[in-house]
Amino acid sequence: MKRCIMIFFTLILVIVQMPMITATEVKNQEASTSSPRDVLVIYDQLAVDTVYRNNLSAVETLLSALSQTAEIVSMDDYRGGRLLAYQKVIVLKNTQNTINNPALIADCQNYSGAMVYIGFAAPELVPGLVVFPVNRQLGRTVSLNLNGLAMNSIWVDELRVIDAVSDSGEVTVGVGTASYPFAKTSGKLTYVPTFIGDPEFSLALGEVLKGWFGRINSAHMTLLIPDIYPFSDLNMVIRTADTFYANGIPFALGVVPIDDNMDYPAMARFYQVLRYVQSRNGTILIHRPSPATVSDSSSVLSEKMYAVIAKLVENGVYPLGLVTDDSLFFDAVDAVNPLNLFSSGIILPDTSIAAVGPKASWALSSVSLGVTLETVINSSSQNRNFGNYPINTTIVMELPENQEVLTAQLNTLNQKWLSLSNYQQLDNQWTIGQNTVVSSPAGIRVNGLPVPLVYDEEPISDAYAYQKPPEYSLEKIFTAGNAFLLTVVGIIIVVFIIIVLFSRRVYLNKFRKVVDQDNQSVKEKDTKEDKAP
Amino acid sequence: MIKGKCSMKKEPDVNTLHLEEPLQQNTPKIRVGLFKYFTKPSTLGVLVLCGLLFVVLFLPPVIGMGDDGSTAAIITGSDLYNLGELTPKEAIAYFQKNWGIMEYYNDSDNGQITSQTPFLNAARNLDRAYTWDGLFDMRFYGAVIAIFYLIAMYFLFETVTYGKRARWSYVIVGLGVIIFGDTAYTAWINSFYPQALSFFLVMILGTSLILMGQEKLNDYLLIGCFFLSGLLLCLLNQQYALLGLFLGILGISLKYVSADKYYIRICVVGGSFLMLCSLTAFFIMPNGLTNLSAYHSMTRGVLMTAENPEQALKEFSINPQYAVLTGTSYYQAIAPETMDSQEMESAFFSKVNPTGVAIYYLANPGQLYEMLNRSVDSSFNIRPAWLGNYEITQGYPPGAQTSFFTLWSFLKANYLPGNFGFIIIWMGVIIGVYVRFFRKGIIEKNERNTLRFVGLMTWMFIGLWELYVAIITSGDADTLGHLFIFSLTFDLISFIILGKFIHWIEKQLRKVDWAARKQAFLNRNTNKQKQREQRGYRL
Repeated sequence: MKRCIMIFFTLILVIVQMPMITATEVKNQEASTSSPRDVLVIYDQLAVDTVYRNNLSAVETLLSALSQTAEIVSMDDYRGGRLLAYQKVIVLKNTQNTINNPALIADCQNYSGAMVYIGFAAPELVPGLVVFPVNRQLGRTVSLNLNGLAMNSIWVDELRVIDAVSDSGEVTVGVGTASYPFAKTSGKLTYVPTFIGDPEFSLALGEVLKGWFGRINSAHMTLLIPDIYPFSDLNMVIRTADTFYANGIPFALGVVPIDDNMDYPAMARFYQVLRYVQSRNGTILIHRPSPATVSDSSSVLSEKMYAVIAKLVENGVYPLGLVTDDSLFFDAVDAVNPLNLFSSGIILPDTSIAAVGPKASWALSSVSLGVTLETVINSSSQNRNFGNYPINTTIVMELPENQEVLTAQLNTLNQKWLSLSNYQQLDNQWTIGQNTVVSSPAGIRVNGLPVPLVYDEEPISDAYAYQKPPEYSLEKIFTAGNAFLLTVVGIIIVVFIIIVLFSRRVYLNKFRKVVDQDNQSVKEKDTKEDKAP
Repeated sequence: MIKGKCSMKKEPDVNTLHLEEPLQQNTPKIRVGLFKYFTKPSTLGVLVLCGLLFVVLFLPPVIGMGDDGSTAAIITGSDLYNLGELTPKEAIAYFQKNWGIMEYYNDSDNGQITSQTPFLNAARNLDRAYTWDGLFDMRFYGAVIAIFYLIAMYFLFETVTYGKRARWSYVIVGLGVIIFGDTAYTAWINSFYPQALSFFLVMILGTSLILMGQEKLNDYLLIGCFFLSGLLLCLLNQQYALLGLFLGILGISLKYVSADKYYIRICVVGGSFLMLCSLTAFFIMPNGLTNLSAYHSMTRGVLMTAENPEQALKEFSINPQYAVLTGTSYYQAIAPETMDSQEMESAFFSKVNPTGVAIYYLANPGQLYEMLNRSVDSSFNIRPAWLGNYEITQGYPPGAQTSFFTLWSFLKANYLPGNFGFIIIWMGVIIGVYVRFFRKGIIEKNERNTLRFVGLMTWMFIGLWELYVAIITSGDADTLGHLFIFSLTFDLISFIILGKFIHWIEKQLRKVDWAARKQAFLNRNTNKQKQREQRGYRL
């Protein structure tokens, strides 16, 4: 008995066990080190607890904003020989710690290409640094002068400047009345002694790097209102569009892609507002789907973006570029990821600390760097006209909450005498799915055909069936079966009624016969009687 | 204790027969008593469960539940913290075994003291007693919970087997092991979620009432268990607090069960204390409702079932454009930055609260019914699909759930009709079967006999209440673990009924005279002619 029980329970345990899910090894996503990028960035440490914590992220963003692809590697992860595959190298030294990688030091000695060296000097790594006389000052308020713009009141804890006379047109660091060059070039080595990852220093470094990469084309400035959702304050969007249109300010709206319920009336209203904005000189840009909301597989992301963009184009809204943060450029991009199909985009300012580990980036062909309105306010121009930053920039301005904020922002923009470009008139293009959208100063062309951006209001019906009736499988067969059965039953009923009526006659006839016989016999009798004389 | 009783009962016989050597005889008798005790169905079931838990929860690969961050305040209250080794997304998809113990004074003011705290503290001190590495191994907490879980299971098995050792009671206990030893249930034990605690508290709450009706254990022990588990349950979370009112009233009315003076005092004092505590807890405890649950109560609830979501939003005076979020989940629709933004707070979250949602559902019973259908269906999964069971080091894909010993949850999720109509029929059957005990008890003025019915009804009430609370607080997404309790009470009641059914069948079968039947079967041909004649005669 007891043994029986034991066997019973063991059997249960054995039977109930189901096959465990087989483990799949998570692929180790290492940056592909096969093909060299435009530039190699070597950094020593992130220096998370210091003011230099944003430096790597700022350099990465700048390189993306200059449309340069980059490979990022820390000094500890550096493997010998990699440096020699490059002609352009940026060394970022955020700390004074010594370098423990002999392979790197050896490669640096043999390196013959161009180099930008940022941060604490390490002559043991780059001997050429000794030629720059460095002047170290503690706790200074400095101003950065670039491209005819002065950015004032920047606090620097530890300022290192090169004791040299700056050439005209160079970026300078102003300390009180003295002025030092922000960067100095000697031979193929450019040295930037002080760099802090804030917007002002980024712009200054941007000018240096722009010259270093040999990009001489003029920069443009645009205006972006990001994070527009279907449930944002659409009345305020319309009011802002009207106000900017009236003041001749071209602007762009960053629309967040939402792939749920795209056929709801609320969505139709949203598209209508976007069409209105387009008619008011506004450009529609599309945000990168937040990585937090998309599952890891890029096919889901791809489907989402294809669906959203196809729906936008179908509704007469033409997104011309991508709004993203810098981390996108480090994500693996393959054939199914539609985000790299855009030719242009805007990089939003991002204060997060760069991710560690060796990585490589890709780039869009035309990008602009997002700057906040505060940065623009802090920049003062020598002329009445604001002029421009050295690289492509986009002023990122939140959607005003109310009329007062809108007026205040408008005044700021007007007082600065900014020369803003219309994003539509820049060269943008993408081909996603069936659609090819191209924009140029001549206007927007969809699949080769020019599209009018005039707004025509279409009435949106509120009568929308939100609750879909459930779909049944084999519905047709069952309906056909139903119809067949109904016919059969109908026929049977008719037959039944006929039978009932008929049988009634038959039934009645039964008696009638008797009656008839009687009658007959009566008649016969009668006739007999009649015949009887 | 029972072991002692067994040997005590046997001893007089031993002594009368062999007075000169009682000591030498005692040891084997105790051994026999022990063996008998351990092969008793309920004890054996608990032992099997114990082995099962040991394999599932304590041996690698350790099974547990992913952490969605909702328990942060509770573990802070016990000086524990998240080591932050996993990103929030990974923490949901993988079970995290190691947590940090704060080494210095805990100065964070967002800690929360609930009825989980004493259990957590006990586990932490246990961990410190063994290791002093500043790390808290979740398995110590799992061990503390597992002990109470096994006690609760012992109670449960006692209620269905009536303490008897018969073949059918082993079958029932076997079924109990399959149902409640299911990894979908036991995996919660290795987590900081309140489900771990409510798992055994709800069980003890009902079984103590039923056992009291069966007079199987000491009344004072059972009434103590009832009040203690009721108290712990209503202090678990603010949303459970109101249950204390119901349990308090029930506790006071328990005084009719026994005429004992102390017993009546305990009932009245305990019941009043429970009601007082539950009211205090309801107003003092933070409601623990996050934007997450508020979001789901709208998008996965009100909007999803509304004929016109825009109209529904207007009733909450929210911008109708939010209708585009219908049916979306908190994690997949909108970027986290926007979710946390001031705009979203003022335009959406500040206008959603459980009371408003509850009133809305009462005004739209059709929607409520639809939501009940959906919630019942999702509660039958026991484990939310997004929480992973394995540690990240085990190398499983994110969110992988174990399929070891999950027969019952598999059947329940896939083959039970998950809609409220089924639940109504099920309730009808149960009330129909058990109400006669209640009626009989009332007619005979023997309140003890009503307790079996009352115990089941307590479970049913708790289950339905939690179902409704789940709908008004977080739609069908249930991020707060209410549906778990509904699912549990459903299983408990079904298990009791099933036990009764097996018991009944066994009784019916025992009445049958098998030998006579067999003989009749064998003789069927010989009598054929006779039967035919009889038949013909009858015709």
